[in-house]
Amino acid sequence: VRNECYGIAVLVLLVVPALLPVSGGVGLAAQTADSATAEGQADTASATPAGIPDDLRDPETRSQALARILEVAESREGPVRTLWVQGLAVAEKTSPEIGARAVEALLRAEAGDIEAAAWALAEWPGPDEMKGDDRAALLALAARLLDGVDPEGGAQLRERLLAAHPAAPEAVETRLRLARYLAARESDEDRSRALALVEDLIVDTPDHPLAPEARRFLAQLRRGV
Amino acid sequence: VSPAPSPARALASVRRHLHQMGAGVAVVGMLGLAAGVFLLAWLLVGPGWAAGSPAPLLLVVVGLLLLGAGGVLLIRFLRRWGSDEWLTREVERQAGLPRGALRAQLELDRAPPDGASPALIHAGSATLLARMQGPPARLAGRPGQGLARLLRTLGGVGAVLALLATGALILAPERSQAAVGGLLGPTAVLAGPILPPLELLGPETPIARGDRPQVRISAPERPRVTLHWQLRGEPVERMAVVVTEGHGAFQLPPLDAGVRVWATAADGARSPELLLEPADALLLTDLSVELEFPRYMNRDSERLRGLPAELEIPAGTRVTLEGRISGDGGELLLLHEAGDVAVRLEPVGEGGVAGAWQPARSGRLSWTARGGEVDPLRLPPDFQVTLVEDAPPSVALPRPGGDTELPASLRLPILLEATDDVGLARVELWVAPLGADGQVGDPEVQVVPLDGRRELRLAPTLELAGRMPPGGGELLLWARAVDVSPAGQEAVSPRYRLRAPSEAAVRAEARSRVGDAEERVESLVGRSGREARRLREQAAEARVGRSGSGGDFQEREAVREAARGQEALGSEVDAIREELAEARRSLDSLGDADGGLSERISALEEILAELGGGEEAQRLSELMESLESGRRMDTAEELGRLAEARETLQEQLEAALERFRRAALEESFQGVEEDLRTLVEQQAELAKSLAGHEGEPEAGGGSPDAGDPDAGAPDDQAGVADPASTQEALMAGVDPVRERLEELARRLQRQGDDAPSRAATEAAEQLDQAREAMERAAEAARDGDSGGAAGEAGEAGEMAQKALDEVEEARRDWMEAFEEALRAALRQGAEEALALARQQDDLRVRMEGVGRVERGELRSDEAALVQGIRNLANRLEGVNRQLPEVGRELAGALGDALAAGERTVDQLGRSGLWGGGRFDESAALTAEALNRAAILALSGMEQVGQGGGEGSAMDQLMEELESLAQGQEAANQQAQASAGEGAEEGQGASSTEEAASAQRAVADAARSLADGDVGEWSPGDLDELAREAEALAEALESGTVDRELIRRQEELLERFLGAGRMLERDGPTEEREGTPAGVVERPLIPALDPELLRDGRIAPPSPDELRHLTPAERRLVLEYFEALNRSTPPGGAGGGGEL
Repeated sequence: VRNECYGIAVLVLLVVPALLPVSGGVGLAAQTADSATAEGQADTASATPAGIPDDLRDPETRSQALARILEVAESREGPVRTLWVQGLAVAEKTSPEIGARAVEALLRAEAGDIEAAAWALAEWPGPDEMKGDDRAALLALAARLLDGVDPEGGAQLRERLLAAHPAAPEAVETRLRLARYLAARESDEDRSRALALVEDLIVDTPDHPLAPEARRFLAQLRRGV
Repeated sequence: VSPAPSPARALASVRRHLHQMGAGVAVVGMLGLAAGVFLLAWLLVGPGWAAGSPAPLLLVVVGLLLLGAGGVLLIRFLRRWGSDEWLTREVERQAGLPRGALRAQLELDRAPPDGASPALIHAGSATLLARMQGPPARLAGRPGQGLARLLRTLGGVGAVLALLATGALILAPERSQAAVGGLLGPTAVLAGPILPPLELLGPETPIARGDRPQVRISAPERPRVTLHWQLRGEPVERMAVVVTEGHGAFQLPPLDAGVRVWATAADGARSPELLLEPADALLLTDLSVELEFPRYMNRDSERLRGLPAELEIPAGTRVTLEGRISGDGGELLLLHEAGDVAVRLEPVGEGGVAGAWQPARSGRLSWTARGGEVDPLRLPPDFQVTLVEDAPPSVALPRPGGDTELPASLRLPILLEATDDVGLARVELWVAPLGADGQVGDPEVQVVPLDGRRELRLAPTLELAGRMPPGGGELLLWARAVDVSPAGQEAVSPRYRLRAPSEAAVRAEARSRVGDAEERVESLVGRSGREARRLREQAAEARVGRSGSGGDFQEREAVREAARGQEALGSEVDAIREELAEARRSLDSLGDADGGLSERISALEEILAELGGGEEAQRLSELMESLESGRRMDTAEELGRLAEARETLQEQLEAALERFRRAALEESFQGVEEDLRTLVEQQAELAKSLAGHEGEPEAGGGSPDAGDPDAGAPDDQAGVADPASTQEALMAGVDPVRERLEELARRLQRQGDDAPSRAATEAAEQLDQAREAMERAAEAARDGDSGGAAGEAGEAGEMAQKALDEVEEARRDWMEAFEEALRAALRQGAEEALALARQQDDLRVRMEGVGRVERGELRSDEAALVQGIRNLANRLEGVNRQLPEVGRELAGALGDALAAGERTVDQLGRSGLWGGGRFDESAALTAEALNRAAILALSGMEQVGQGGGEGSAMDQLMEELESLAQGQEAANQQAQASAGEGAEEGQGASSTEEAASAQRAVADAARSLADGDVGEWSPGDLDELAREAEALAEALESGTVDRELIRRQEELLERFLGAGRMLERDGPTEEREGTPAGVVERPLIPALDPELLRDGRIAPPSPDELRHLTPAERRLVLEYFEALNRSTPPGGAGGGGEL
């Protein structure tokens, strides 16, 4: 568990500078669309990420917007690329407005306002007809954004996701991540909760790709590591 | 309570003993007497009692007299010795009693005198009894002994007689029956009718020596007689001759000497003897005829003993006569009727003569002798020679037997019959296209070599797929037979026209084949699974009993059986594929009218083609070779490997089955929809026509074919034909469609698609209602009520339309459910791939600056992640089965992720010296591959429902960019050549023009692409690329070819390739690089090796080359080469290709 915490800390160190607007030479800041174009890393001069949300909202340009998200994702590296692919997944499976919100959050995070972007996404009431799974996807994305800067906030969002949408596709990973967070705390109650979450994951979804990791984590928890 | 013993009782027991012995003597004597009488009768009876014979009566009387006399003597004997006087005397003697003591005691016991003491009488009795101890046989004395002796004697004699009688009974049961019959009814024999006597009649003419005389027998009222004959100096022979209406005949063997002949009958009659003497010896004896048939008949020569009265032989036969001449006959000649000499018999060896000739005409031949005094009687009789000419062969095609329409499978079963009186050289089957304009195209012929067989009856199935002439022509089919005669006589069957089947029938057949293929694949899945389990068990058993000595016989046999089973499965898969290929070929003859069915079937063929081939087939072939050569092997390991191969095949089959099920359902839907649509259209036309003819007089005419979806145009039917008949014809087509609908509903139900299944059932019910309306319409039309008929026909059309709507909706629902399930699976796959990518990102972060101690933990975490990737791959197997286009790419991405993940695990496990600093790179690659998998899954969601086979706009763009790159590469090479790098003198100008032309073509294509609707997916600036291509074309057209231009061309090529790479989802490929053009060598083409032309035979592939093929494929290849060599004889121009 300590290693996990260490890992998350390193992630914070890696991701946060990358998301900050200050050009640090490494990280996400160097991988913004403009800089990437300037360095010739991506032939996406026309793919201005800022315009993607509006294009997503417009049914006529939605498919192009999705393609541009993909281009942006391919121009990024490491965890940031994964975040953009996650954004693409959200945009693909949700309504145009929700997808646009997700991309806006990513763009805002890239601009350095990670926490605000994540919380804005999480607190957005959404349209009345918003489906549970769509809400779960937004919460999962927001939680992921917060992992690097506000682990507690991320855990809160995951708690909310599990409480409101326990059957959502994101619930499995959410259980594992929340369990890791809880296990890192000193409280026995939290550790018991973490244990229960991992056990639930293994029992409910034994074939899930995260199940092997969950089993390993469960063994660690039982050993008291 | 047994009475008290007394002398009287003892005496009575002795008397009883004597009586028993007497009874025994009587019984044995009677039996012996009966056996004796029977034997005498058997000896006397002959073939039967002669009518009026007194013998049976005498035997019976004698027997009875002997019996009576014996009985009297026995009774007298017993009476005498049974009296008290004789018996007491004998007992007293045997018991050693004083004479009279026993008798006195008996008197005392019977009538004791007055005053006599009973006690004393009793004491006397007791004393006597004490002296009379012993068995009755001892006390019986001499009479007893006499009777015993008599019994033994009679028993012995009787036993012998009985044995003899039994033997006689077994040896000649009929004779025994006749004997007993006579004894039981002697008076019947005595008083029986006396049959007429037997008579023999010999031949009236003198019998030549060596002839076989016929003897005629007159035997009235007898069913059969026995003919006896005895050649002088030889034993008697006999033969039963059946008598018909009082007469019979028998041909004696050849007579060399006198013979004595007589006949006997079952009633004992015997004919007078007949003595036959052969006449003097013939001049020519031991005559034999050898027939040598014409060589083309390929028939062995025949030798006849003796000369037949008529010789019927094929024309061209050579006749050789051989014999022995006795005495001086001079010169023996055989003459034609005209008197000319046919053959002269020349002396051969000692006493032999021979002569040979080939009869040129039929006629009677007679013998004559010249130069000697010969009695004509001594010459052989005349004989007839008949020459049989070789008749031409006959050939027919009883099936089809006339012009016919081909079945939808384009496989026509035929029956070919050919005969010839001598032999057939070959039979040919000809098929030629007959165009719509009546022109007969080049025929194809299949030759059946027969090598002289007299008769051929073949029932092959002609595969005519792909042979139908384009434009709706027909085929002509006929057969030709050629016999073996040197003239090569031939016969040709009538020519039959084969019409192409209707398009609907071809499509229906093809769809039916898809359904059949699904069932067969399903059966294979079950079979393969069972066999895989059995093989696993066998492998486990073999492993337990492994001796390490290479396996015993049973285990090797198990391996052999398993290998054969594997081969059989492969052959079965090949057979299914071939069935589908046939259906596809039939569809191909329809052109575009198959609605893409041909492509869909082709895709199914490809699925089957991928099963169990390649390395596995080669390994199986090697295993079979090892088994055949008896090479040592680890049978347990081989069985395990075979089980594994079987399991793999089963998995592949299961995957294929999913596709087949879906394809079968899809085709069922489409077939039903097509039928319903046709029905709706025709019904609507009929209703319209009926409404238009309302009030008009009823039109007469024939009825179209019932149920034929292509039966004439509806206008013709409705307007010209009888509407009632037309309606009935349409009605007849409803039931087949309904059955297909029900079958579709069952299929859907079986696969758990309940809602579409219910919809299909409802459609079937709608169709029922349509049928009822059709019935009413037909009835109204028959009654002349055109208005009513039109209404009912319209209603029927509406019902059919509703059924069609139901089916279409069911198909949409079914497709949507399927696609939604696929999309959900892909969506989930994307989520899970992303989850893993995030996990990998986290791990990668932890890898930064990790120490050696923490590496173990990380390694375990990475291993868990790798296992997770495996889980994901397994979970996406269903996608791979249903959407292979996406599944393949997904599997590739996951494979990359798995490989990178395993590499990470491996590098994390190494020591710092060897593995340091590399694992984070492979971890990054893992994350990247997982992200790619997620993207592919997401883009796959878009492809679901787009038909799979159709490429997306991006795919089309990629293809066009690739085409542009190829064009540019060619233009570059030509520009290089025109610049003098490889071009010959004097060719520069033309090369520059060619280069300019090629560059212009590229420029035009690029411009067209840039101006087209390529959407926002367009990578890079196509317009700029087009402009550059145009500039290069202009430069070349102006004759400018320099290094700068060539560099710009290469750059443009790179940009085309780069643009294409950008569109590839799986990243750039290393092998697609633009290279500058080099010198193109144009070697002279050498002349063909004369050896290749010397022999027309084309060598088949070697066994090594064939090894990697399946047995079925090997057989096909070898048969192909065999057919190839057969159809191209050296130096000969074949009459056409093989069918």
